[in-house]
Amino acid sequence: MSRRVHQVVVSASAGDAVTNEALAMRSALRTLGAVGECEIFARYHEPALAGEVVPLDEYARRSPPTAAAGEDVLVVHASIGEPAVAEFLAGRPERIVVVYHNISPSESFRPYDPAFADLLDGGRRELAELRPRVAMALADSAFNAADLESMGYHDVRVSPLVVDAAALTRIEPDPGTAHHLAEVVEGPVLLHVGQLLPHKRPDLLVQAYHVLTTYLEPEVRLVLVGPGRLPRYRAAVQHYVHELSLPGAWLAGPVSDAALAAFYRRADVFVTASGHEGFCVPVLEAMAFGVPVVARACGAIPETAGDAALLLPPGDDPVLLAEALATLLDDADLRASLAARGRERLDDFDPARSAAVFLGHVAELV
Amino acid sequence: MADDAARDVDLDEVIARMQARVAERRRSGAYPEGLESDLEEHFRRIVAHRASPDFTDVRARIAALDGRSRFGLDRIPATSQRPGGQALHAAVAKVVARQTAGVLDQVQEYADGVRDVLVGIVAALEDPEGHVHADLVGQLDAVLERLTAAERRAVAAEAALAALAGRVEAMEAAVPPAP
Repeated sequence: MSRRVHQVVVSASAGDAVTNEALAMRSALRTLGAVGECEIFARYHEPALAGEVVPLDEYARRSPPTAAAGEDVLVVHASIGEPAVAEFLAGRPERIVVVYHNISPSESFRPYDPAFADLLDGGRRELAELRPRVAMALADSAFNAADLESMGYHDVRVSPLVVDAAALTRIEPDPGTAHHLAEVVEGPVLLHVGQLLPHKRPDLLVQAYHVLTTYLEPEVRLVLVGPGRLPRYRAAVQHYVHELSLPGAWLAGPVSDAALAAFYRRADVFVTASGHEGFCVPVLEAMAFGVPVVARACGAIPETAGDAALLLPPGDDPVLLAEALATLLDDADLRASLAARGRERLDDFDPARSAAVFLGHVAELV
Repeated sequence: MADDAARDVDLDEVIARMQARVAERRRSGAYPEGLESDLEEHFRRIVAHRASPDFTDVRARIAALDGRSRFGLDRIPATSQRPGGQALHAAVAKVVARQTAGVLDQVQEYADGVRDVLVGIVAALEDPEGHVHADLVGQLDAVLERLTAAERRAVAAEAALAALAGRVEAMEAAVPPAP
């Protein structure tokens, strides 16, 4: 008899790493003979994803209770708190599989958005309270597994993120963006991709860029691509760039996949100063484009990048980061070496293999 | 570059070389003392004094208000639990329709005005740059930045002079003594 294996996410949005993984997992689950129905339910979702995900409050109608409901499985993606989801899970008879993507530390968010910081703290509490109901706990990195174990979980298994990091390389770059980057943007380009959030430390990156252009390499551009979900923090970073007189720094905001492909193609170096990452997909995307990566050895970044990135000590040192960027821009052999290593590293995150690992875990329950 | 050659690069050694170069530049004064703390302090000042408050939630509430602020006769129910009540309500509504419409028009006009005022207040509050004190703080920071840059130039010139003097001394020492 086939089992229902549904997934639950708090929020589904296009391009979001958790949403992408849920979609990839659904495709994988549909290949498993023992799995019957499998849908993605979301508390919130972008209208564009209406055909892919189902509102959580339709769960009871779409998946009516059966006598064997206790044998079915709910895969819960944990990355933030949401009381409505916690309440929903508390009343479900299905066996629960937690996939932990990391809940960012709240302290760096509190000065900018106390309500969001509370949601993050709430997420940790909800996850700890859910523990007795969890049949299996998965984490997409050893760093995340350790974090989940710190919340009282045992036997957390590492199941690599099911992500096709090379997918962007197959997309036709947005012609307008590509033209702008080719014709208007002069000199080497440093690219950062990620949400403009305090724990990702774009402020430290701006400091390093200031040191780089003031003392080492004046003709370099810095592009920060990604949404700024905390308007107050985004405004602070924008002010900082303005007041340090850095016209070569560009906060590009959220962009389409096609535009992102254009940015990666134009980039000379990918850089992140992030101090906390549960996985860091953009590192792999940069590797897929053959762009050398510079980062700080923080969170799960060393696990994701392996020996294919220039990993600096985790301390806040904008001068060393600037020096690393100057070195890399100046040394074609080093860039080529990192690009070659990146391509090798990407093989370790083959989406089919990661999906097989995930299915192996789920198969134990169905 | 072949993959084997790619592996030949020792990244630990590359980082050690960079760290040594940073230390050397610090020693020579190429990186002025207090550079990082100055930059960090500047960002802290911005966060503390000049970041704009977030009005996303207020804007969302105003947008939600838009959906509820259309007044009309069609939204006044005429249903009734009593026999013949619905017909009675419909008849009364028809009799006083003109007066009701007049009242609704006035309420609508007032609601639209209140909404416009709210939008205007949010727009004004969202623009801290228009506030004279924020401007002053910004200008002060700009002056401080220029001052710091000028000081750095002086330090760099001093370091360059010291290096030049050292080289002259070395050249003098290398000149063989006159016979």
